[in-house]
Amino acid sequence: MLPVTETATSPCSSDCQGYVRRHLRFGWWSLLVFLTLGILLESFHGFKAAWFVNVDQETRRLLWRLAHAHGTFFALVHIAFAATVFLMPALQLGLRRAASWCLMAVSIVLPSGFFFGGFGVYGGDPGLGIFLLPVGAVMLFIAVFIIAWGATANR
Amino acid sequence: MARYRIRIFVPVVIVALWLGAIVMHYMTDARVYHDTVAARAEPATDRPIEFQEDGYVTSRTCKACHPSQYSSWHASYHRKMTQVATPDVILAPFGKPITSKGKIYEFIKRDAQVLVQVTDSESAAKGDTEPEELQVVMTTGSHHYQAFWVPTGKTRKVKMLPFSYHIADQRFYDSEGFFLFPPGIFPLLSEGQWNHTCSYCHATGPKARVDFSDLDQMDTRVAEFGIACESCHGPAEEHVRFYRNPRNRYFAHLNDEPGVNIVDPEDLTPRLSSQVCGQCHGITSVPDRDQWSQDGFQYRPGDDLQKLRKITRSGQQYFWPDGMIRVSGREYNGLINTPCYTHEDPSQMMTCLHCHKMHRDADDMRPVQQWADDQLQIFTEPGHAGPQSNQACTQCHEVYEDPQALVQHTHHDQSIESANNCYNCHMPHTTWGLLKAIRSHTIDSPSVSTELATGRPNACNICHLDKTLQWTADHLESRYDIAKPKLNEEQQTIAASVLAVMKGDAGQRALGAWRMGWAPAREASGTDWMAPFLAQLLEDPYHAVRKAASNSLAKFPQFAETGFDYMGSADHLAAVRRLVDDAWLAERSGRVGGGDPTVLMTDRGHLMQHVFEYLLRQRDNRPVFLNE
Repeated sequence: MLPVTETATSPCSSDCQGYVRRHLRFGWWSLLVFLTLGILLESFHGFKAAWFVNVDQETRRLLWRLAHAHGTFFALVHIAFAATVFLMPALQLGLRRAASWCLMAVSIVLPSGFFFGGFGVYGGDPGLGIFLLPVGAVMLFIAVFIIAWGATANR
Repeated sequence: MARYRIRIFVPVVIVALWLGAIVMHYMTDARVYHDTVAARAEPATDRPIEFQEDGYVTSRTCKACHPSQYSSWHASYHRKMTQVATPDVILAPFGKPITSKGKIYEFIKRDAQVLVQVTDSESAAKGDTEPEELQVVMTTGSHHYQAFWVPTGKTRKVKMLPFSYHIADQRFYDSEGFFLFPPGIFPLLSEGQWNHTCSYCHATGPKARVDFSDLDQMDTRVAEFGIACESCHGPAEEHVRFYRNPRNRYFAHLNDEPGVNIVDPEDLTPRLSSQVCGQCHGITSVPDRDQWSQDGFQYRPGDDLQKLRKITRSGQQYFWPDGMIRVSGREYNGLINTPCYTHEDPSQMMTCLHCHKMHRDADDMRPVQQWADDQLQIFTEPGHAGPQSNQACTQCHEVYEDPQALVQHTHHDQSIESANNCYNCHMPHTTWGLLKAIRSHTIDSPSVSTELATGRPNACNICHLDKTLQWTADHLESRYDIAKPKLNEEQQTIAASVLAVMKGDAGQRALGAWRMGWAPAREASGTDWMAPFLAQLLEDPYHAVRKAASNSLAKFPQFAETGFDYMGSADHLAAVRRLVDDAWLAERSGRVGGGDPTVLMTDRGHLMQHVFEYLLRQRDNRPVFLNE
């Protein structure tokens, strides 16, 4: 059983506020990065870049769209995590640190896996970058599990 | 306590779902891929259907891993050889009445269905009849013309509508007008033709399932309509099953290994590779018709076709007298008689894939429809770049990469590109089909003796329409040391092309009419003498000859808009012929010079009418069936 050391009513400590600030910073900046990627992809469509829009580039197109979508979504998750830490600061420091680290890593590893998987595509199979994905998925699972656990403890 | 139960329960459910998904993945077989809209729909009962068995999985499965190949195949005419009829598939206009064989037809759309309303012409004139409605269930073709199939109401047996749509002309003609058959004879209109004949090659994995003791019982199934991936690569179920494991896929990617449980014609021996195309582009027969009907073809890509089917090598409907194929779509029969193919060294053997490319290269800059036209390789040789470059030949005949060596060989000026093109002399247009002349796929060299023996035009006179066989024989002797055969007076004095269009059989006349419209021949031979010959062919008994003649006449600006309908009445044909003759005569009135007796032109540039009539009386009127 995971330990819980703070109560739901306790105020956010300075350490807690450090996490909030870090994830808000990370969230908003990564949102900017991945929205920019989205604009870039839109412009590939707009200018009908052959290596992106041609029918035989379907795999690349899918992977880069997934990179954009996941990156954007994880940016919002960071902001949500910051809010979670602020509102429910009961999670033990070690677990909070682990969740934070995992979320940070996931936000880099998972979109990167999709993005680099879009290079060196093998027909319908992504390039080797896709092997980052299982690592990211496991970390994401751990992070969300820790947060869910902590949130449950704050009920 | 409840919160702890939730915290344990949720992850356990998630992990269980993961494990369940993995187990399901490995327990189900490759055919789960078949869960497509088409497969889910209730199968039709009044037409042939798609039914996957014997390891076929359809192109819908292949697409997931081979999007590029799928994309180029999807753009090909192979895919559209047979299609289930929907409004999108029909190339013909809707709502436009078509009169054929005493009935009026009109295509209409209703939801996703294509219907044809049929009215008897006489009843329609009286206005006392409701049109009969038939559902168009399948189409054949999308490149040159499109034919339409409707149910017969007897099991899955279908029949062709009596007209087809000519795509270039954008109009309908009676279906017999698309073939070189004697007038009044057209077997393709018989019921069940698609089931027991067309399905051979216009679908993937066909099983005719015809009860030959009761021809109204036809339960025809195909693995996929059209000529799809598995026609050339073989049934893919085992291949799909193996590569569902990502480890197997990435091992193959990283080691650049050929696919397992699948055939790539490029990896086969030249002989077996050519047979993949030859299974359809060849004239073959099966040893046991009943077994074929029930079980489909035994042959699969990679097998030895000649062990499983008999290759037909002679017969007036398909071949010139020396065994060279003369109908289109049967190029394998041409290839196997070619010295480049029968080479003793297998590594030197020519295959279909030396010239054709079944999947368009990513760096092929041609518009996709241009590639799809004949699916020819694109070559990049400077000065000869393009799909019909000499580079196809110089892959082996390297000496002719040198322009000087080529000019010495052809004896034609380097500036005349068509005369320095290997194909024009060694693969001349001596095959007929799709209402046009098509290149021979038996590579040979021009020979007057062969023309005398077979009636097949030699390559020199396919370009030099205004020259006699004597002229050709003289040049072949002086330039290539080929002995001159003995020629009669006509052959010495009258152009070979004139003899062909006046005296030849229907096949020779059609080829002759076509080449009067072929740009290199018109450039080499001049054109102002051609009109009376083409005009005469407008009244030819054969539809195909009339069509070829009218197409060539349309190359003359003054005859581009004659309103000629090659399927029209005898009066119409005669009227347009008169119009062309009169226009040609009027154009020449007052001219002096321009005589050329080889093309029956007097010194004053008039037609030698008596010789013209004399030759016409000698026309070979034996019936010709070119069974494409």
